[in-house]
Amino acid sequence: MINYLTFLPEIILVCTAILILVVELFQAPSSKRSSIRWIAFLGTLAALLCLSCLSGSCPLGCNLTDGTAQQAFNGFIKTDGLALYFKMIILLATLFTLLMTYRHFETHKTPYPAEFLAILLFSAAGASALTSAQEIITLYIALETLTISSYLLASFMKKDKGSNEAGMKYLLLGAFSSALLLFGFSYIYGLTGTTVITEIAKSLAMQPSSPLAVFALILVVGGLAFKISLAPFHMWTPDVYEGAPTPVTAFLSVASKTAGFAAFVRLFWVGLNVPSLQPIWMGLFAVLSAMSIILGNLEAIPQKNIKRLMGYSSIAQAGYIATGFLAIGPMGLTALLFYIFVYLFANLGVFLTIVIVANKTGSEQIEDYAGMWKRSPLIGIVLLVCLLSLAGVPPFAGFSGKWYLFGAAISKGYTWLALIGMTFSVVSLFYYLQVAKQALVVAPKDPSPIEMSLLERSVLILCVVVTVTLGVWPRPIMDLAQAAASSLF
Amino acid sequence: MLEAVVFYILAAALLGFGLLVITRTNPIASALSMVGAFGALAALYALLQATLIAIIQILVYAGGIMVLVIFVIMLLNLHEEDLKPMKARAGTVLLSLLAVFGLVLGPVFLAVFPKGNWKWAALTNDFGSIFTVGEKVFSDYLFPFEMLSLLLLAAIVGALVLSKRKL
Repeated sequence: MINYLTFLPEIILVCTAILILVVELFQAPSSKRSSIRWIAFLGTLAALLCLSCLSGSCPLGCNLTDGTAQQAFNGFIKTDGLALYFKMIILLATLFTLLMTYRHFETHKTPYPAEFLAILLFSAAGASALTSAQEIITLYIALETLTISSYLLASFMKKDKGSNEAGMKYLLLGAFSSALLLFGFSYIYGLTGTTVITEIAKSLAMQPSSPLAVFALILVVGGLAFKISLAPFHMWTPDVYEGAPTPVTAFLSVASKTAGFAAFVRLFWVGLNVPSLQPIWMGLFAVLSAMSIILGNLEAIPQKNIKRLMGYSSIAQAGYIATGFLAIGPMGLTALLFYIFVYLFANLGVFLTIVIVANKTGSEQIEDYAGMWKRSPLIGIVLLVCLLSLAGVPPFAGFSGKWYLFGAAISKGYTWLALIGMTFSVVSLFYYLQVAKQALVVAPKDPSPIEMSLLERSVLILCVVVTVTLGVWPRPIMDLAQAAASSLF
Repeated sequence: MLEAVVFYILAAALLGFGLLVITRTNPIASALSMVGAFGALAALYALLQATLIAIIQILVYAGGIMVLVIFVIMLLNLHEEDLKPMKARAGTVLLSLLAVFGLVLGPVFLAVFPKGNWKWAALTNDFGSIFTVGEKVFSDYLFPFEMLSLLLLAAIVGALVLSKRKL
């Protein structure tokens, strides 16, 4: 008997996606297709709500489980607290992306809105399945579902040169990195004779260290670091982030990265956490993390295009999150999970304003944000709060997030890395404030106000509220993250 | 003894076809040499008693993939003047050889001439047989197997959207 509860959120997402494709067939070509938007939105919302039912502590009392980890196929997939937390982030990011999609496609017309939504939900399902994968084949195929859908989403505006370029670059480099990853996996399988991550750990711990294991490890780090755009595997990020439709950029910057970190935690903290290999990948990660923080922040400074700037910023953010990843243990994991949550709201708040502004002005240049404060006070506030939070300025959530991350890193002896992180957080203020300065200080060239719907307004307010609240009172999400982290330790 | 003879014949055929693939200027000739290379590789798999892989190699690569490749070549409709021989620069060749040796052959050498006392995981008797693989795919690995259909569906929908002029 298969325990369907294990992958209930994915089932909901996939059914929604297929429903969208079918419903669209029956719509007149002239219709506004608002029904498929509602289906996509409600489907994702249902998947998100079912997470709380699966966690066994639903506020509405509708519990599907008693809070124990659900598993199926001999434990090949297991939805524990950690997976539920990652799924929550991914589904929240998907909801944000859907909201942006509706606004984005007002000006960037596409004849295929249903296909876009369906592929977006497929890729969310892939990311979501990835977080419960306990063995490397499931992990790989879920990751491919996510990335192949992402290539398609990035190149979706097929009349647009930038989108084509983004899709092509992403596809070529992504396929290469997937090949590296798979190659590494094949050596791991050859050495251990199993694909289950916990069994891999047992088998690797029993045998003497071999150069092949090290080789496999390097391949896996390289392949996965590409997906979360850690330097020096970050070359694709700015181009893809700039060229892809903005909602897709937002999705990539949060959902893809979250899924990548989920894979990292499962593979490295569980599977490759053996005495002979651990120092090697820890060393690799320390270097990757430092390089991402330094390169991402420095290269962001001269950027003129806000999406490109956010691309470099996301490289640096991945570097910060990786410092938490180095602090193996409940403390590091809690910090990592907390920071991803904070990053979600700050980053997606900025992306939502990018979509709204681009919808009105048609521009993504930073200089065209001049006087946003006058044109829409809310956008000015969101830009200020979210960007300062990304930079890690108190009292916003980014500060407490970085506090926990660097604290965890220092407790494990990575003081130098934390110092680099803090130094370059100050550097990052420079380019984040550049945008905020344009929005708040410079006089507007065109003072016409920027309208937005009630839903967008409330979501933007939510981003600000979450970012400010978690800065002064991080307890609720910290508790959630701690509970999630405890499922691994 | 006989096995070694067959191996060397097949290996020579594989290398020969492989060289033909990259030295022919006519893409159809290259593609057909690739079919030969795939066939030799399938025979090598069969020699290792990996029957399922051998069959898949023929069905998927020599069959499906090659049809696609030839389709694309025909759609491109290349003319004589497009097919000038490519000039190979010594540096490029050297770099690609280095990359191949580092990435692929390096570990193979490590595996064939091992240092230290590690070894590959032991295989069961029926490893890789159609029966075992089928049983695994439809029991333990059912979830990734079904996930693949999702991946293909997303890819098909995306390919349609990206390639079709009017839908």
